[in-house]
Formats: sequence, C-alpha cells, structure tokens
Amino acid sequence: MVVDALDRLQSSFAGCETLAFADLSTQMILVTNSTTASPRETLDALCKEAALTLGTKGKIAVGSDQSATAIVSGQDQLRVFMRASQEPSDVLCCVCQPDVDVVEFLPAARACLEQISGGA
Amino acid sequence: MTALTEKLSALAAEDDVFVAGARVIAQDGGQVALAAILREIDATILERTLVFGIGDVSASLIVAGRRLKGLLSVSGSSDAAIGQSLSREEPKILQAAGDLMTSLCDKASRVTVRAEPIQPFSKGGDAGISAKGLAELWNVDLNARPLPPIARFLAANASVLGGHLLISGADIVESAGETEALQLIWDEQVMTLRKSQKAIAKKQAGAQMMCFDGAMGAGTAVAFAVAGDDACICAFASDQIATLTASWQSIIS
Repeated sequence: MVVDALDRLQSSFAGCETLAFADLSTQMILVTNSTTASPRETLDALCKEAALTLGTKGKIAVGSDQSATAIVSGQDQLRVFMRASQEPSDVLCCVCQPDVDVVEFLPAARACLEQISGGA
Repeated sequence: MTALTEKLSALAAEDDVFVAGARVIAQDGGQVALAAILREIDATILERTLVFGIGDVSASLIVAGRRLKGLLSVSGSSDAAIGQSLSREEPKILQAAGDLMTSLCDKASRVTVRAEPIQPFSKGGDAGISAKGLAELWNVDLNARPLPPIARFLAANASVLGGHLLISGADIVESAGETEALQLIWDEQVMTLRKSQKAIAKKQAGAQMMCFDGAMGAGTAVAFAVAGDDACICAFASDQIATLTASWQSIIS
C-alpha cells in the first residue's frame, strides 16, 4: 500500500515530517504518511507549490526544461518535490526539518516515489 | 541562575543565534573562528570561564580584564599548554596554546560560546595576555569576519558551479562562468516565480534557496538563493543537487 511506503520512508529519516503522494494533473493530494500533523490547508498549499516548482501541462517554472526534482531550502523547513519518471503527473511532496540528511534522503525519496508510481 | 542568564541574553540579542544555550560566534573555521574567539576575550571584563564549542570540541578558557589567563580544559586533549598560566615570560607555553587553538579552529565549522562562573585555575599570579596581544603573537587578524551567507555559499561551492551571478540590492556585483542564460532566467522567470511561491508558502521567512534539477537541460540544474539584500543564481550538474543543498543548509542553520 502507498501509505506503508510513505511511512517506511518517513520513519527512516529523523526530521522527515510529512510525505504526500499527489496527482499534479488534478493538483490533489492522494495519500499522506499516517502520522503527518499537517492540516488540509497546508497539504493543499504543498500541492500548489509542487505544481508551481515542477510545472504542469508543459509549463516550465525555471529554465528551459521541466525539472524532475525541485527543492526549497529555508531556515525553518526543507521541502522537496519529485516527479515520477514514467508518470509525470505522479509527484511526491516532502516536508522535512532543515537539518535532515538531504544527501541520503533524496535517493531514498526517489526510490519510494518510483515504487509507488510503478505500482510495485 | 546560569540558565536564566542565558535566556535573558538570548532575548536581549536581536541578531544572535543560539544553539543549545550557547551563542554562535562563527559559522566558519580557520582565522575567522579564532578571531571570533579573541573578540569574545576582548569583550570580557569580569573574570569568567568562557566555554567555547569549537566544532565537536569543548574548550574552557579562563578570561578576565579582556585577557586570556589560560586554557582550563580542552575535551579530548592533554596538550602541555592546558592548565598553565599564560605569560610572555613563557613563550613556549604561549605558542603551544596558540597552536592548539589554531588547530581546533582549522577543523571547526562552527564556534559557540557560553559564559560560566570562574573556576579554580593555576596558582600563578600572572594577569594573562590581552586579546590584542594574542592576535599579534598568534598572527590573527582580529577584524576577520565571515562572509555573508550568499558569498560564503558561492565560495564554498565554486568548484562545482558552472556559472553564477551574485546580486546585491539591484546590482550584479560578481559573475563567473557561463552567465548569459542565468541572466535571462533571473530577469524573466525568478521574480515571477518568487512572487507566486510567496503567495502559496505565506509563513516562510529568512534566507531561502530553490533548486531545479535539469532546468537548463542536459543534466544541468539551476538554483537561486536569497538572504537579506543579497541573492545569487547559479548553474551546476544535476547530480550535485543534494551536495549543494546540504552546503546551503549548513550555512543558514
């Protein structure tokens, strides 16, 4: 189940707070990790930010090509947005503490997304 | 009482950053860190034990009258200078203390300070060495200051950046490498994106960096960062995105 994959990723990283699997075409959060404390408005904003930074319907946020990963790194929070390689509407939105081990987290989050999107 | 003093100090200082009750005085190692330590000594009038967190090492220094009387303890070290009164009449001890502090600072990525009550020290009647005197003896520029966050980020990652623009206010104050495409992105896309993003993520404040994997095609990523009046935009290989983000996190934390 998707929630199990999200929970496994979340519990593997101290500082990983919220994981949300979303559909960019409808801009809807489909599943979150089971322990997230984020209210619906926060999740909706997270999905909007994913759409803005990754781009939807061919729209590009920055540069000349759509990104597969966008990262917003601030003093209070690190947010990561990832697009699945085979299904571009499938995205993973991640909210972490700013001191999360990002070098380890990014490949683990990518593997989680590809597993979910591929239906494995 | 100490906890209360620390909290009051934290409340009184608008710009200071505290970690576990200790004030951060340097976010860099080397000369900048040692200069920051000497400035703390120079600012200490009453006798105190200043406990410096130099990376993972804790060094307790006996300080009074803007002078360093000696090194009370350094975790994990049994250097001969520890526990000795510092005096110009003992140049070998003085230099050993300088060498020890220099080597600690060279390896540190952050230095913190916490003032504690005085503790029993050497019986010697020496007054110690002034911070300015130590700066001369140990070849430290007392005015060495850390670079602002954006400049520090660019300097720390210069070897992996394909090009960058450093913007201060509305002016480009530094450029390196391939910048034509970056200039275009900055002029035509960044401001619009930031405005939209601020409308979505309303509560965020302070320094921020946004990275976009593959945004310039052919495995080239783009990042832009803002901290105070400074900003930058840079290009780099997409496989460096985690490393650069980690670097930014360490600078603004």
